[in-house]
Amino acid sequence: MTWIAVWRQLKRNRLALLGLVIVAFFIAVALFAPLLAPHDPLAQSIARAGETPSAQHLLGRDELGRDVLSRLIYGARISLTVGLITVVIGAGIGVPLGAISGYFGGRTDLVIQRLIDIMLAFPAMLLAIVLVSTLGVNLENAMIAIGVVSIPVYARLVRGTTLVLRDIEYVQAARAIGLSNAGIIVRHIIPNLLSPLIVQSTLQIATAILWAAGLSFLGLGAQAPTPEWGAMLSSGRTFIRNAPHIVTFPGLTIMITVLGLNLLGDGLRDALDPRMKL
Amino acid sequence: MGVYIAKRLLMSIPVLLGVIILVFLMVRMVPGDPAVVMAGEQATAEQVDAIRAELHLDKPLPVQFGLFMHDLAKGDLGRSPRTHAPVSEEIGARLGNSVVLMFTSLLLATVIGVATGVISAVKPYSLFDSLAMLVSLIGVSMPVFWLGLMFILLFSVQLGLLPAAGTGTWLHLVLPTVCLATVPLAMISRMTRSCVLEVMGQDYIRTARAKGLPERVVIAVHALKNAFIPIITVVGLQMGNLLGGAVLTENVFAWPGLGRLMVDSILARDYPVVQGTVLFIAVCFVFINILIDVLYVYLDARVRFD
Amino acid sequence: MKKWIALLVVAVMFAALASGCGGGSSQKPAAVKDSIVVAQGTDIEDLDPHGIASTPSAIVTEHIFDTLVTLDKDFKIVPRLAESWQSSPDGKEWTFKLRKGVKFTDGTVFNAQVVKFNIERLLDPKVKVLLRGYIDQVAKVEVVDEYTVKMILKYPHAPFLARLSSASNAMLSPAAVAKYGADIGRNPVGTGPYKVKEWVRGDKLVLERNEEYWGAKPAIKTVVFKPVPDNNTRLAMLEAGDADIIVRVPPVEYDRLSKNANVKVVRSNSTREIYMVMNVNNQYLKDPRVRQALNYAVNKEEIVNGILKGAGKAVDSPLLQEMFPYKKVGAYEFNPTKAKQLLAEAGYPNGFKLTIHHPVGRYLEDKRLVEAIQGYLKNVGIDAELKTMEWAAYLTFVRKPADQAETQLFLMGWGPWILDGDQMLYPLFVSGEFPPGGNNYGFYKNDEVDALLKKGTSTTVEKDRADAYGKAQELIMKDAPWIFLHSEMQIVAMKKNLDGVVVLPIEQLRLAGAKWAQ
Repeated sequence: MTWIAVWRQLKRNRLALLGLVIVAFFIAVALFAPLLAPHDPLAQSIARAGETPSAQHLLGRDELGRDVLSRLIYGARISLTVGLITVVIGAGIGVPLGAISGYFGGRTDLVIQRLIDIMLAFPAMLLAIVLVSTLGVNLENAMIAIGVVSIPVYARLVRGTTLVLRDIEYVQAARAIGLSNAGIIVRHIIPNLLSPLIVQSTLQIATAILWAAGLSFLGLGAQAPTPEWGAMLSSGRTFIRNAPHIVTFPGLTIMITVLGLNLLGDGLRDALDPRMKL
Repeated sequence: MGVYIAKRLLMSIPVLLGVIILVFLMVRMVPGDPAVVMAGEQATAEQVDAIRAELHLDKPLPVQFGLFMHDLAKGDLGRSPRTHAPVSEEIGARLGNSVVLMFTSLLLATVIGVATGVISAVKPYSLFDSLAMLVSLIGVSMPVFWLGLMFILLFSVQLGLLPAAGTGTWLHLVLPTVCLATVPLAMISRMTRSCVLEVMGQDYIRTARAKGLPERVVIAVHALKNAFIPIITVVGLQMGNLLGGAVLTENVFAWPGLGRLMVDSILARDYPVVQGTVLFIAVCFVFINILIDVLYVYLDARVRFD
Repeated sequence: MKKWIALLVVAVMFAALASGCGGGSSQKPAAVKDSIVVAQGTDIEDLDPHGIASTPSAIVTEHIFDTLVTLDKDFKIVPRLAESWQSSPDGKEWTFKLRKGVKFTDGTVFNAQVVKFNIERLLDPKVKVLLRGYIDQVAKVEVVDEYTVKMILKYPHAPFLARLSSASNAMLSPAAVAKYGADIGRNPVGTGPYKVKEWVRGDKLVLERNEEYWGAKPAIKTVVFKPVPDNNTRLAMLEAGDADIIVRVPPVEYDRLSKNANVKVVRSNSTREIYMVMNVNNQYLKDPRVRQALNYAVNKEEIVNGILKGAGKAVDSPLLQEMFPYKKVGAYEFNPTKAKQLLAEAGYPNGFKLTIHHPVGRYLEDKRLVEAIQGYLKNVGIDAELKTMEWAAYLTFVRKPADQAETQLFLMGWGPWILDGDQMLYPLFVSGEFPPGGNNYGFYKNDEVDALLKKGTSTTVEKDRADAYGKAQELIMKDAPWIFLHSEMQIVAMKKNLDGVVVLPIEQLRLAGAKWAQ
């Protein structure tokens, strides 16, 4: 299926288009953050903490008097990066594992599958907490933890698809003409995995943003004063009654972004691979 | 079937062993001396040493592991050095709460998810379809602790309809159930929709329709069966997740479940409780998976014989 | 299909049943309310009073057990199980006359033997007593007669009486200890105003009135303690009527709650002092001028008003006002110019880089606190990087011995269970109390301070103690081993018509005198 065909499919789906617009918007915000942000996201003014939205501060000031809008704009960079990096980590380890497991089968498969089973049986939140506490409480390590937690998802997905692909005629043909295993995996298997991987990764970015917020809730997220959305939401939640703007705007931002990613992911799944079951 | 189950059980042994080793090493890898943490700041140095000895932390790692496995073989998960209660008692006190919450949220997710999924599939790309999709996705798109907090503020504080947190009556279950149901609900609704859509194009549906059955019955009876397996997959997967993974929801609603026990224990470096809980959850996970796979076989047969 | 529907129906019924079973204590407002629900932040760990070290546990054990002496609502030491006492002139022998006619809830009679048993249990190295430092001054306990007991100390120790008021030094039934052994913590038997009715771990602890209590009979029949970790949830429980008393109310809620007609908010001083420790072995922080500069750089009043929203008091001495013998020595005023000047004198006109380590969720507004301090330090040219650590890792990190310590500037708090200054100054500033065993985490050492604090502990003449501690407080302030910040105020909120709840500065509640107003 060509990209044009995918686009045509996607265009028919209003919700997916909405998702695409949302995601594109936040990517643009992230890219042009320094141009868009009206204030320094770190500049404090405790005396004016918690001020409600005004002309100078469209979304108000936070609990330390920082501009909420500017923090959200810079936060777009951070939160989207969190999503991307975790995908790189999760897919970077999960895809080869799954591909090798599915392609070679037999004992290799058995061993890798048991490793994946162990990871799946191990409570994910505990794994993340242990990793962050061990490596140090900051955003980089939170990304590593969230990425590691997503490895089994990728490995499972890729293994399943590879199992099907490996018996398809042209892969068999490639093997017959003597292409190496590595060559077959890179040239024939991985390209065919692209569709499910794109879908999975879009959804995974959404999940990662939520996980980062969850870790912040447990005190294991981004290092202060990083304007990461989840950290803003979780540290602002004390103000939910007294200065609701401090918590509501980060919450809405997360919700809209994650919703956009989910809509886009769903739309892409319909367009790329309607039979796929995630 | 018996052979299959036996084989699956056999295969789960290395997995459980792996989990045991992993959790054993992991709790010890995390920086933070359990003795220092549990003794507290005002404790004397001798007390810190005493707790270390109680946890065998003064012995080499292989010896610690041997002692742990030795007790485990006798079915003894040890005692919490923090609460002095047997780990099994700690787990037992939370298990019921976790199971009830898991059950109600999956039930809610399945009922609503299947219903919306079917209706969406009957009229794909309709307004209902789009709205149902949007609403279910908004549910999963909110950090659950924020969603929970807003539920509490709205339904308990503002409207006074439901208790804010804790356990007691079935009303206490409502808010955490809804919060936890968001994720499986979105998955099940989505899954039902695509499965039903798929089946509706197939021959036997057309035949059934030709026989003059009302269309709704056609859909309900035939198309839904195709969705059983994926739905059961989601439910099974979520069962494992919800048992120990409902930490945030349990925290917000002060729900005494296994997730909170596990996280509180790792934060307090209560090694025996973390080990015991993780092992327990892993065993549940393995059994649920086997159960699901057995169900597959059973359901597959039914679908084919129908 | 029918089968599936039937299955669903059964499932729903099962769920309703399962959830309904726990509903025995469903709270419909009764005609005369005689119960209280208390929402605490963390769960009770254990109810063996000798083994506890956490405040939530202590709040509960203080209602099940009695100590020999206790703090009254004016924070004075008053009789409890001991009716009167006397110390020998050298301060080494303490004789207690015990209350007669007191029985444990298992029928055991309280007498001098029981006291001897308890103190010996507290001293027994085989028993886990986390706060043994509150009792290990005792060398020997002698039974003089049935209701008179004598404790002989290893050395004169002025704060001894105060130490006996610690919740960890409560009296436990010897018969129960023999009966339950290792499970005594789950089967506590005391002489206090309440006894345990039901304990569902992680969920609730239900206390019921001890009808045979020797003192004034509590008006409230049942007290339920629930662990509710999230601040916002506790608040919602109070507002929604699911809890009657909540502790650790976020400071930002004080004003709003005060206006709530159904709620009474108590904001009172606590003995928890918050400070930034400086590792005096650090290349920059070893210079007292630098340490003083940091003190001048931070705006303590703004922190108290802006971040703690008034739920704190900037300190003006290493010792808190509530504690004996406090002496006002004067705080470092907020003066960034002076700070820069001192830094320049010390040879750092352009400042330097530092790392601030801190926990999150441990102290009132801790995260915002260090963010603010980072901002203040930036203003005087010090580029401080924040490093969050999870509590367990943090505590281990700051308790490393000097040669392994990687600390520079870090946030700590200290909240003793007694109001004697000894439990604050001695462990935190004496050079014998360096980590890993002690709490002098910054490795502060001043021989004169050492001598003064030792004298303050061992002399029993109150005036001499006051002089020694006064001088020590002055010296410590001048040496500036910390950035002196504030003491926390505790905010406890309860239903408007609940009277008689006592909030002690040691972060504890006393509910025995509570009653619902008509």
